[in-house]
Amino acid sequence: VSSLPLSVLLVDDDEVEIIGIQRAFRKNELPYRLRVARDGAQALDIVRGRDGELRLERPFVVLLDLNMPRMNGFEFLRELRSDPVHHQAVVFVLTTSPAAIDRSAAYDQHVAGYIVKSHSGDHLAGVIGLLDAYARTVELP
Amino acid sequence: MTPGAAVWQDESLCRGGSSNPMNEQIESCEQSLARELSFTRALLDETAAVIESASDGIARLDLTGCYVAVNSACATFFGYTPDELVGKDFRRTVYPDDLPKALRIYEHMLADGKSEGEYRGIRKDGSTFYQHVVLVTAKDEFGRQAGHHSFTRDVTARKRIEDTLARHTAELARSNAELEQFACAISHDLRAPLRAVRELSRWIEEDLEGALGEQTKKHLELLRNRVERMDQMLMELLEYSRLSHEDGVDEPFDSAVLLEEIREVFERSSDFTISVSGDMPIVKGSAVQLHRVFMNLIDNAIKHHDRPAGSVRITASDLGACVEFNVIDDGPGIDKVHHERIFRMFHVLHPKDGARPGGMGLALVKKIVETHDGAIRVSSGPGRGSVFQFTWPKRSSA
Repeated sequence: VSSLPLSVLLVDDDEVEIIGIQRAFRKNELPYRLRVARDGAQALDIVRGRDGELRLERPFVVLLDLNMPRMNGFEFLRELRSDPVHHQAVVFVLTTSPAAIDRSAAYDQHVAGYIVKSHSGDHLAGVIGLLDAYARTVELP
Repeated sequence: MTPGAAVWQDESLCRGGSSNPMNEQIESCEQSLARELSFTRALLDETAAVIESASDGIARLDLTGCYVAVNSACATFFGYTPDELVGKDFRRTVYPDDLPKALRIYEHMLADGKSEGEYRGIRKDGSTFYQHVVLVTAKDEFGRQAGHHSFTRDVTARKRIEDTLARHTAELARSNAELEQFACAISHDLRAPLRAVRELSRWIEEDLEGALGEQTKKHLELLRNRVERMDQMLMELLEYSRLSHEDGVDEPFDSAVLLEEIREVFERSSDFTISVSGDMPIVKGSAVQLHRVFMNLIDNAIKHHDRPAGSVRITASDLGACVEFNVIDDGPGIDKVHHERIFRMFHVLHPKDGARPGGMGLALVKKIVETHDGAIRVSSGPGRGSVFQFTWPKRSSA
């Protein structure tokens, strides 16, 4: 199991969502480095360390929203999977869409999990817990 | 053989049996022949008159597919006089786009002796019409193929109605899909900011813990409560709008099994007794939706009950064509003036704070029952209690 601290790239355009994740990380006292991108294009820049963005350090996982301006989650996934360096990246989709068509399209792009944002209060704590257990159990690329 | 011929033969047999001189016999034969001839002529004339006055187009075509004889209706369909039409190749009376179809029907007739189908015909003036044709092989006196008969009917009016119907059906499907999409977008897009409001209020409470006065705490609770209610309404709206688009499963199922599951759910989560009396029928339609109907009706009975505990009884009776379920509670009953109103969307009789999220429950029940060709009504028992009665399709007794 990697001793390096995990980087988490959160890709979401909703400020409240971002604050929610940040709070959940802080509350669970997880030593992860959280990076935030507001859309798919910025997320790609961060993964590749381009356009003034500091390159995302490995090991990392991506928490990806689907519905975003400029470059949405699916477009990001397509780009990422055809990237010669980063195509193996582990991505969890975190979305409000329960639509079967979205879920299927996401798994077609080999996401590690499709998580529907729940409306219950401590849902995010559960997501963070899953991420933590995943990172401590799984060997990341 | 025509009936007339049979009669003549019988007469000739009778006469053949008598013992007249030969010339008398010849004379008699000639007379009979003349009678037969005039009879046959009359028959042919009558047949020709019938064919001529038929409203269907009737035509005889030769081996090359050219009209040999046509009745007035047939000529009129194509906008020709009968004389003009005779001699024309039938392929020239077919709308060019439909020629392959017409030829398939023609070849089918050549192979099987008879065929029918529909394609557009083209008139002398170039206009088109829809025709239904029946083609039958014609034989000569030696039984050899000698062309064919064609029977044509102008079905333009019917075709036009069919086209209009198809257009309206497509339009309806499109507008339904649009409506569902709209409801879906509404509920999804409105729920997202609502979620943010809830999260933010929770964080405010967390961050200011200890520093909040009782009143502020109460206000935050009310805020979240309203958010919950709106969220519930949006979800129910979504469910309601999606209902007619769900695939109806038509497998028969046992309503007793379904009710047992529901009984367990309510008895675990409330102080109400749910009882099922009598035999429950095997029914059809959507089990998921019938489940929803019972859940909503029982939930409704419990929510509107004026005591913390009570009972809900479910009975069923066979009405022949369908079954009728009764959901009987011992609550305060519903005033008659409200009996229609409670099935409308977002109607809440006693809007107590927080106690009644939604208000779509009974509207949803009504829609489910009606999409199963049933009806629902409510009546108040004497004194206490309400009875919700609804019909549901039963398993066909095939």
